[in-house]
Amino acid sequence: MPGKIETLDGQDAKVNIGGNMLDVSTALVPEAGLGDWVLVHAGFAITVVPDKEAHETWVLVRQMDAFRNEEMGDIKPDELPKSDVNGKETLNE
Amino acid sequence: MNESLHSWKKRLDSAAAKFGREVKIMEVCGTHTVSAFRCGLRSLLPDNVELISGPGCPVCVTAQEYIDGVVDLCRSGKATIATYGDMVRVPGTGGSLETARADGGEVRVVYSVLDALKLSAKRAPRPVVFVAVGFETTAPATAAAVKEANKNGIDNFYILSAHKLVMPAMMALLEDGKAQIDGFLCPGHVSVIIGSDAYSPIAERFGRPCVVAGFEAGQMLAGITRIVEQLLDGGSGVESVYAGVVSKDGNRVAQQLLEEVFEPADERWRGLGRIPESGLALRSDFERFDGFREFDVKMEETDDLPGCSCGLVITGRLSPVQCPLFGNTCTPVNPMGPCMVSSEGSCSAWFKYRDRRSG
Repeated sequence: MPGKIETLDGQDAKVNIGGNMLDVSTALVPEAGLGDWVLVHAGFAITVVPDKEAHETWVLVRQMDAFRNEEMGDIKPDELPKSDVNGKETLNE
Repeated sequence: MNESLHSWKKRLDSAAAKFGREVKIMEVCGTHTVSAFRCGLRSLLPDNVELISGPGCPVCVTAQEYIDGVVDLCRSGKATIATYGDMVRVPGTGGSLETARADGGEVRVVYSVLDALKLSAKRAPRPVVFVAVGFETTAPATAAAVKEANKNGIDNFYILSAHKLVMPAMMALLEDGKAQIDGFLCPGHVSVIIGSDAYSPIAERFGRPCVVAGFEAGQMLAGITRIVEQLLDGGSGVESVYAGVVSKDGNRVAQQLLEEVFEPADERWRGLGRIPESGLALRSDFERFDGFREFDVKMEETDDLPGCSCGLVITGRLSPVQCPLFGNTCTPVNPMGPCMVSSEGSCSAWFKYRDRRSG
């Protein structure tokens, strides 16, 4: 899952992945900057993900989670989340 | 079902019906294996299209003697073992890291190799040995840590490299010819590093379509569809449906780092045996970080555990449910082989999701 670089100090970043803040090295993606979306593997960012793909991925994940919860009777269909990881209304964009 | 998924499904149904015969597509990535189950992908496939798991789970492909070597080193008390969590419960011939820890060995689970490096600074002068398993996605991280240790003159950090390269294993499977493989759903994150062009020899030499896909249901379905469409057209090309993430050339920085720290070496794989130049060994400039050398860890070829079929499962020759141990003797609570231990293991995924595989 892509995460967003929230802070960057040299190669040391804090990346927000679905609300979880992880310590991540950007040694493999020196082009990554503050606010970029990155894919993280074993504590290292391995590529920068374009904003559009990152948002689309998170919207799909939120939808799947919502349907799974609905299946388990936790929430009703009209309670489907309409926001991405940053709380932006993107589902209907 | 969203629109994109629906349209890919229609295309896949149409291509599979026209193609007629059975198609077996190997997913060479443990994350694909698990994602396919989680999102119910198998239930969307036409009857003549089957997804089989390949050697894509790093823990599962690790040779038995490596597991035994790590467990023995842990038991010796000479070093602290730092490892990714999946390795802790993999059974060796004489127990696992979990049992070695219970017997007094020191094991630390780390999220990243950099945590192992930090641990070595904290525990100095006690040696810390990192269990370096994984493919091209994980190996650059190990390379970065070794380089960092070298730069900072850290002298109590070591690695046991069992890093492996995906392409030689895919070629070995095709050369071996024991499993029917009509096309490859190529691993998303490995491809980020090596680039989609890396699969060209498979398409050219063996005539098998290779399609790189991400881990979301629509991408995996798109990848499978493109493989079947290529087969229908009589083609065998390399494509990526992992838009914007996987390039043709891959991550050059990571590739250069691998080249600088490691050199290709012959490597033993569970189920596949020794494959020339399919592993990564430290170059001589970095050999002082080599845990094999420092602790004289023996790597004598050892048979897989009796009755365990992991070797057949990861080479696409046996479905987990066909293993006589599956679900009775071998369960996630009491795993008999690595494929039942690892979260990315095929047996573990089948055990967890088998009741949902067709629903």
